[in-house]
Amino acid sequence: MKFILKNSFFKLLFLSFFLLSSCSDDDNQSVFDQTPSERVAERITELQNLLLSQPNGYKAVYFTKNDERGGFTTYMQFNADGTVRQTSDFDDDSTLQNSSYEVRLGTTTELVFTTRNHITKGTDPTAVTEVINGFPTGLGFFGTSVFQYFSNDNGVITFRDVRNSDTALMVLYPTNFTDFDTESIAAVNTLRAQIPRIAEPDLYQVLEIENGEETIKYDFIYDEARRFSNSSGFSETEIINITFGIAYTEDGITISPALESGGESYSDFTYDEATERFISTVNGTNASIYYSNSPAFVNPNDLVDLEILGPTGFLYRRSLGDNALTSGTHDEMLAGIEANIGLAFGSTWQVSQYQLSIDFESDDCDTFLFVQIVRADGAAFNLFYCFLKGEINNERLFLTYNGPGGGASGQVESIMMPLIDFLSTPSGLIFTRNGSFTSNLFNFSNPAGTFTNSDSGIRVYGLFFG
Amino acid sequence: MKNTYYKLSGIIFLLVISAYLLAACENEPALEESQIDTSAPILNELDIWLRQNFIDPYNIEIQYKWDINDTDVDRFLHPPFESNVKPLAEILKSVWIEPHNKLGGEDFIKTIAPREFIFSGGFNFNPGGNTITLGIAEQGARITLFNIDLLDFDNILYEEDIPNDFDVQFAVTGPLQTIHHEYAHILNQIEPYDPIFDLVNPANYTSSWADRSNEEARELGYISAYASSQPSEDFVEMIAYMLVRSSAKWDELVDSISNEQARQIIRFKEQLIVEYYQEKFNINFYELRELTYEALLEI
Repeated sequence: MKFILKNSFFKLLFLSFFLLSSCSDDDNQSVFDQTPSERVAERITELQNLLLSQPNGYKAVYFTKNDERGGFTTYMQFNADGTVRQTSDFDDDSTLQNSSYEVRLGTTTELVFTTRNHITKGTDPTAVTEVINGFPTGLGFFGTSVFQYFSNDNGVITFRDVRNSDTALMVLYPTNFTDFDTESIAAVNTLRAQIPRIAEPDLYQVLEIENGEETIKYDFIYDEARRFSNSSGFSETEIINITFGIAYTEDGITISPALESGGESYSDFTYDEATERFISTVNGTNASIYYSNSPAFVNPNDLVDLEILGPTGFLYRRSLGDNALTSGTHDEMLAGIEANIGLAFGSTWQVSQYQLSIDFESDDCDTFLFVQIVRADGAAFNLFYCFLKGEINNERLFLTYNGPGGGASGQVESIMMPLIDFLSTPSGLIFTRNGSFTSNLFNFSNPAGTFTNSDSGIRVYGLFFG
Repeated sequence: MKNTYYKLSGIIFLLVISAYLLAACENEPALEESQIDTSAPILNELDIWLRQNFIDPYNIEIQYKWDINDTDVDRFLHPPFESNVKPLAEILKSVWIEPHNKLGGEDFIKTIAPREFIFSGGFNFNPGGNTITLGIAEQGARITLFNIDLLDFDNILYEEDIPNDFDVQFAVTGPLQTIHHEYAHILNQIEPYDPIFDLVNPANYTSSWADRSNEEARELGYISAYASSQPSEDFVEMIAYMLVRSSAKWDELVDSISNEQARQIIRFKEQLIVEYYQEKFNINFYELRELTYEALLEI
């Protein structure tokens, strides 16, 4: 043995035996029936054939990044010559357009939209811009033009985006149309008909979950530009925020990620014309989204602020610009008052501003409404109306009207009654604090807030002098 | 005796190895057709036109079909409309290729040129807010042009004539200036410019060039804010500015600078560029400017 190990010849022979025998028997083992290139080609052909198998195309629901953006729907008709015809509900331009596509091997088998069309609106940075470091910067929907083929479930094709692997999803459903051009445009119009039902609240929006034992309400805020929602609410121990993206469907909306509550998962909401709500029903429980004249909850801290700010005076002044929190109904109310002054006294009038001082201790007209009306020639008239002291009960502010002040106040009292009634509603005003004052014209450091009359559906946004 | 023994054992060892190696070739199949799909891709009319007008004569590919790897994968960019590709390609040919070939020889662009142009449809916003990337030249091999879908091909605008300099990017002068800028980088990579250029006015180069207006930069002796970022950009910005303007328009721009020393600096840089083209490429730069400007007017 000693001899063998010392002898180089046997050492080499021993080594070569191991090296050569190691490749002896596994060359003919095959894990796959086909070569890699055949398998790649087959996968490409499979997807290509699948896309062409629907002569009237697919409906593609694409959530680009569901932790920051919602989704949009593109109708796409694939052709064998490498072109694809599309329309979408991304914006108000639904014109059918042709572009190119390819099925190729990239990260995996990929569907690539190689030239611009509706689907690439998801990657257009100008679709959503934000001011960053003082400059408007394009961010868009964080989408892609390159989709990884993920699965085929009886003709429903799922794609993912490697860049947003956990948050992006595009699913293609056969349209079952008989005429792609006509029906796809009609379908887009149906989808976009959901927008005014969810994106144009005059006052508040609520996300409500009824699970049989309790009803939980969240303030729901929807950003249509991003198709993304943020809902907030309170539990006993914490502030809860729920976010999800939204895509419009023929009968309502679909959300991503799904809303999880009480062990149930809500994702598809149907619009109910009767109740004017988007409702998702799962195992006898409901989640719904709807417009409301009242917020989901009142923040008790806002009422503490009101007691401090109220005596300093609240100001609504037209020359300070517009804020969407002032409802259209409020402007209509002022327009009605102005018209009636004109009828009574001739000329054209404007309610240029009003101020509401709220005192919580005295009934001696320390709580008062000051209104300034201005005639077309610039002449201004000041009006005063007294209220008893303000009272806060059941999370609402109650003001009781106590008659006109001096000057012409009494003469035009009846004309001013819509404004007085708005503030002295028997149901009480809802108050919210809204940071510092901002409008389309100005940003001031003054505290800002809103008063809402939930009976008449009127809300005003303004600043406090304090 | 011992040596003979070792020689013999070595020969036996080689024979054994050879036997194994040769036996391994016994059952190898004959070469067959490639398993990889080598069939021609689908070519549309535009593809055929681009092959005939760019690939065949100049060995330049205009890549307008999207490949995510052609641009920064961290940016959210999109392909162009197909309809915008040919107009811009024609401009490349008339305003960039033909003037250079006319003065530098018919193979000038074929010899010194990026082998690939990438066309991207939308703006390429840079993180941080206040800048966008207009074009990228990579290793002399590829030029990427952004925002081609937003171009008005009939509009000739100069930043010194309009309140918002950014609006130039919507006019045809925007990408043309970008092409001249990026191509000058490629020329520099082939033939370096005179290092004395770097020493003309080095004091005010800054990485915070975006905080400067073009007018402020010119008063410091740089033709644009971006030119004040570093000497190599200064050199190519000078070229790009001159090649999209007529002689009179260029003089007007330089004469508008109130600081006399800044004017002199820019004129000196202009002289260095004229010498660079003459010495390195035997091209009269002023003739080149005349040709590029004439072509621009004919778009």
